Amino acid sequence: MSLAATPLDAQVILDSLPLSVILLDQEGRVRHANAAARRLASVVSAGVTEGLLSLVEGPPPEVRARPQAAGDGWEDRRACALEGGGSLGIVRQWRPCADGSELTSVTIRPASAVQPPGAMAGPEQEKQLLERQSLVHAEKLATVGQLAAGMAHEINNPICYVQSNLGSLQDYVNKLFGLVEVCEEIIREEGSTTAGKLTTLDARKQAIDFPMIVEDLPLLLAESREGVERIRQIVQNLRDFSRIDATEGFRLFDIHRAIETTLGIVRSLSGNSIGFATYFEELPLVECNPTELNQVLMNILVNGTQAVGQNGLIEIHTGRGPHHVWIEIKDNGCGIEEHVLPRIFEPFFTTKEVGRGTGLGLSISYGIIKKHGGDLTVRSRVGAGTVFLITLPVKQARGNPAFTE
Amino acid sequence: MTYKLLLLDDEPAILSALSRVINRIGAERLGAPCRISAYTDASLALTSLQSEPYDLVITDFRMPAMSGLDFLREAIRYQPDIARIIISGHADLPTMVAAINDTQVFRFVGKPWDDNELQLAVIQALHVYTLSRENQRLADLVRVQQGTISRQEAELRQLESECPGITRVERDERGAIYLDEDNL
Repeated sequence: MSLAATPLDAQVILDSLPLSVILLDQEGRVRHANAAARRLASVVSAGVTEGLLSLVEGPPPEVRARPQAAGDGWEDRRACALEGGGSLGIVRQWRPCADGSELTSVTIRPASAVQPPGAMAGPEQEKQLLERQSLVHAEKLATVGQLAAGMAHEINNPICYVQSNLGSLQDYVNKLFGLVEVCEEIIREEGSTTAGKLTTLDARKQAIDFPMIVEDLPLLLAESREGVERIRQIVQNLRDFSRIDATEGFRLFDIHRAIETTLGIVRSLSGNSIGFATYFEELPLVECNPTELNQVLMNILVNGTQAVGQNGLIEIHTGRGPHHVWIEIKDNGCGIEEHVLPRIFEPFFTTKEVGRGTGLGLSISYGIIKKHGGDLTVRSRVGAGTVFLITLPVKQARGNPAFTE
Repeated sequence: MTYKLLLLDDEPAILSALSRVINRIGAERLGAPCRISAYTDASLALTSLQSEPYDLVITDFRMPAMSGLDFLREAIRYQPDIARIIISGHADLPTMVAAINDTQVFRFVGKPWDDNELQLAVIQALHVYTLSRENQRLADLVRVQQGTISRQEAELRQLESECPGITRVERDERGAIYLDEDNL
């Protein structure tokens, strides 16, 4: 029996795959799309269907025509809105190889938590959930990575003085031990008067600058203790923030604690040039995923610290309605330009220089808040600053699939 | 004689730790007792540098309002002969090159510092500073004897080194002399 497949067999096999497969010809045009890919394309609103197909094409002719050094390449990232809400992030990479061949890769990711209804069947949804989790985690690590330099500095400072103070403490203690020995000698000494003994003791005390030690020792200990406490706090905050706990789901949590934790990290990383102020109203415990909420707060706060310059001020207000709570994060930074504002929640959209942002932070934050059944909105004016408003329901709706997951 | 040291760091606890390390050197190893003025604010430190003569300045590199390098550039405008040490946790190459080329810093000490290394740096810096000042004084003495500069000029230089700013009188357009009441 021959196992060689006919072209028709190949098409049937391709169409039965759960993965989207798109075949491109040498010019980068779409030659064939299997059923899954066509399904993906069909959820895109009519006007964009063709756009999606063109999105998976290779680089434009002028890029190909350019003489390319080995290792050079071309990359294009964009987002594409889906009809039923949500969006796809599309990354195209193209690279000529040394042997004259070319390498094109196209990655399509669901980029926001909101799924188009009926777009995906069971196993794909699961795969998407996994992908989303890995994306969320990657973004979280990227944020921590960006903060690492500042964090090293923040931990280094207290280490400096605690370590040095330990050296001074040893010196003081050695001198005090010496004094105890002198006392012993003086007591054992026979034939000297009390006045004489005191004179010897005083001379010794003067030699080691006893009053200075008495005055300085408590300060030394207090400062060192404060230093160790600062290190402990930074490490604790970092641990609270980066705890990777996939099983941790929704629970009743104090929103103010989440804000304080995240603010603790951001504050310690941004130096003393930025002021932070919190105005908390009394809030009920909120049903939420604390780790994810921390990530949203971190994203917005880090953006804020990058937007404000010297004399920056970031204010956090909280409050409540009958069934929801809100968190308002306000900075007096450079603001967001009007034409950019509608795009900031788009995946891969970033105004930061290469390497400083993934362009995923706000899009993931948006997804997280939507998953909570809440809302994330922004107001901004160039030169005046930016206000992010997070609204969260106090109780999760029983029908929320994310809540029951 | 007393050595006068100026410390600058935005962190008060670092200043106290540094002061302890320096005080532990002791007058016998240093050659003279020393007096430390510690500042967390660069502009206050600069104000002090305008009127107080110092032998050595030790500054942090990374500070919120003014970098250690900018501070030193200002400081040597007031006291060109002052010995200078930078303490930094980020010893990247451009920073060190700028520190050496622009401000001829005497030592670059890492953070966290080694107490012994820091003490040695302070002792050596003060030693070199004292030598160069003594050198200047003797050279001026020879120049006076050879008639290259007048006794008055030599006296002015000596005065300036003891009281920075005393030979530069500021006047307004009508010729009135500015007096800083804080420094009287």
